[in-house]
Amino acid sequence: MMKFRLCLDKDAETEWLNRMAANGWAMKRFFAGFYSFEKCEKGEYVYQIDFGDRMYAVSDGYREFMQESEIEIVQTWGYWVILRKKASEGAFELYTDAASSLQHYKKIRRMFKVAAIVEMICLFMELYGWIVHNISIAFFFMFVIGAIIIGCLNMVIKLNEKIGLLQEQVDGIAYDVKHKRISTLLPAGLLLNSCAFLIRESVPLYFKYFIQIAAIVLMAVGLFMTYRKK
Amino acid sequence: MAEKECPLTEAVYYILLAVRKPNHGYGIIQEVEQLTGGRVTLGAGTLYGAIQTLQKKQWIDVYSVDTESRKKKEYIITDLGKEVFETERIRLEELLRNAELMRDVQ
Repeated sequence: MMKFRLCLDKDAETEWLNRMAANGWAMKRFFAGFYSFEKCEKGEYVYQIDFGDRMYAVSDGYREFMQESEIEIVQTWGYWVILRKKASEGAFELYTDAASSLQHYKKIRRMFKVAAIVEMICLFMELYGWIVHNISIAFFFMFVIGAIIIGCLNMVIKLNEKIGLLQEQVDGIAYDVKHKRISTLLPAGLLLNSCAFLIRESVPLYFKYFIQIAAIVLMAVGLFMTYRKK
Repeated sequence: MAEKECPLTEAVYYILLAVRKPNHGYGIIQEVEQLTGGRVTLGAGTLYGAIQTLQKKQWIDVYSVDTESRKKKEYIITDLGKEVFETERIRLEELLRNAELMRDVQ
């Protein structure tokens, strides 16, 4: 079975993989948002997602260590390492104290910050292509990149909260959770708007307008939801 | 120098204790669980990260890498590790000694 899912939040993804495994579907491979699943006994595996030190690979030491702990490395993707362990081999958790969880989430946050900066540079390059060379496809990419940047920033906000609460456990300085999020409707609107720029002349004009109006409504509601007082 | 490293996290404290004699990854997890009556369970990521850090700090060392018999990699505490552990023990003793003050309150 194949499933498509775009997920930046590793904890949400872990939960989802474990829900699938509990229903008898074990994740076997991942490629660019496509997860392939194989049938397994219900609840046969427990999945965890780690954040490695290098891209698309793990060190020999890491591989050996996991092997010795009866943990299988299912897939590496970017810095992500998807792991699983047979439920019959005992409990499977990766980070069991505040200090190591803190370090783990800080590494992830740094990656999202770097990604957001790189995407912003890309955004300016597309802007340049559009203004100086009048490349119309650049407009499409600008909205896609905009959506990615918001996704990354949202993760940084979420991780700030997680890190703040863990830090509180370590040093005892109270952390106050603000529950701020950028609404997902905003990047959804940006993506829909980008699609409108892909539509050729052959398609009736009202269809294009319809998509653009829907995109603007999504973005407006997204902005409203983001700034709404809770 | 050892004073600066203290207090140790609970995980590091028990890992050092578990490698007072040669011990491998899974052995460390089991021993720590046993010593604390199941209160402290070390996750694979926590233990792997700690082992990397402790090796870098030279508090522990690889004891044997017997690749032919596919024996598991074992670790052992170093003299520096023992020194840090001793400093921590003295600190903990002080904490417990001072805890007696609370008893006098009643």
